[in-house]
Amino acid sequence: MKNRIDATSIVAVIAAIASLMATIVALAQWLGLGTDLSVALITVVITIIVGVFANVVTDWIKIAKVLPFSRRVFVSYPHDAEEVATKIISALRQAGAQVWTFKERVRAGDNIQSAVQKGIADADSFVVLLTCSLSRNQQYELGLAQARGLKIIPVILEPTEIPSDLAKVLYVDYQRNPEQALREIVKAVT
Amino acid sequence: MVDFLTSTVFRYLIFPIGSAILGIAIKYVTRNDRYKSFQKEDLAVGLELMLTACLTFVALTTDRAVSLASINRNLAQLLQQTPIDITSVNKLQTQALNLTNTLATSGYLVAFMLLGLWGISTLVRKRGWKSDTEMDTVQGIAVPLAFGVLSLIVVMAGAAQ
Repeated sequence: MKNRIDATSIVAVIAAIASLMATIVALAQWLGLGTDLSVALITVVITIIVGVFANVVTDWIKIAKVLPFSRRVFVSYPHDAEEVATKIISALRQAGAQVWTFKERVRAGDNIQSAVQKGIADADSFVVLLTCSLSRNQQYELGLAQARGLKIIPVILEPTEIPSDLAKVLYVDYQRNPEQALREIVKAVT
Repeated sequence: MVDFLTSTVFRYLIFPIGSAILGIAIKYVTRNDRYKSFQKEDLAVGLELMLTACLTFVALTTDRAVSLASINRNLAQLLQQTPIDITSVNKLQTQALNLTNTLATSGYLVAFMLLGLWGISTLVRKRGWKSDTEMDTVQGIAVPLAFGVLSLIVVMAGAAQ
């Protein structure tokens, strides 16, 4: 998803709508339809266009931020980092973010892959806590997040080698200064 | 203001599209905040619009029936007076005839609207979904939305008569 709506796109859309309306009015006059029918026809055509381009309209609404959005964050962490994860999750929630964690959202009997896919599909950003090595679950979650183009915030909890996938992403160093790291994480996702 | 509210643009453009936008906004603000922010499925308010149009039309038909009864009462009163005011009687008779004609077709219109509602909802159920959670933009969103807006326009046109 693009981060902003550029002026050219807006002008292009307005021009296309104006052209379409003019065409409909001309067509209505040619067919001898009255004003009522012409306006009704324009309304229906606009509706169809909005529906067909629902993906684009949705992106524009999101980018324009005309609706109150809570940022949704998917937090991926290994079991041995639960204590730190709890602190990060708490800080994110205090900042108004909606946080997805495996422990809270996946129940016995749930399909794990579907639940994780849904969680990542709903998320705006992805926080991955890195310990000595990336677990298989984390690798899977990271792969999905990258495939969906989410903003990824790596957080280093202990000395480790950054996975090659994340080599070009600026990470947050939690081990050096936890308080500063919490502020950086919150700032990055909200 | 009254001119604007009774204008063609308001009746057939602003009112139907405004109803759709309000429907989308309500759908969005009432959803569980834990899940995804705005998504394209929130635009799928066509069936709600069709239902609203259908119920509005039923209410409109009831109003017409009440009006017809009132016209008939007035007509009976006029016919009891002497001399009979032919102009007023003719005017009321014309109104009564128009309302009768409209009411005669209202039942069929409601039936067709309900049939359309069933047809579109079946189309959405059978062909409107790409996956468990994702809708097809044409058959799941655009077609029902167009039918919903068209239903509202038809009802507004009926109310304007």
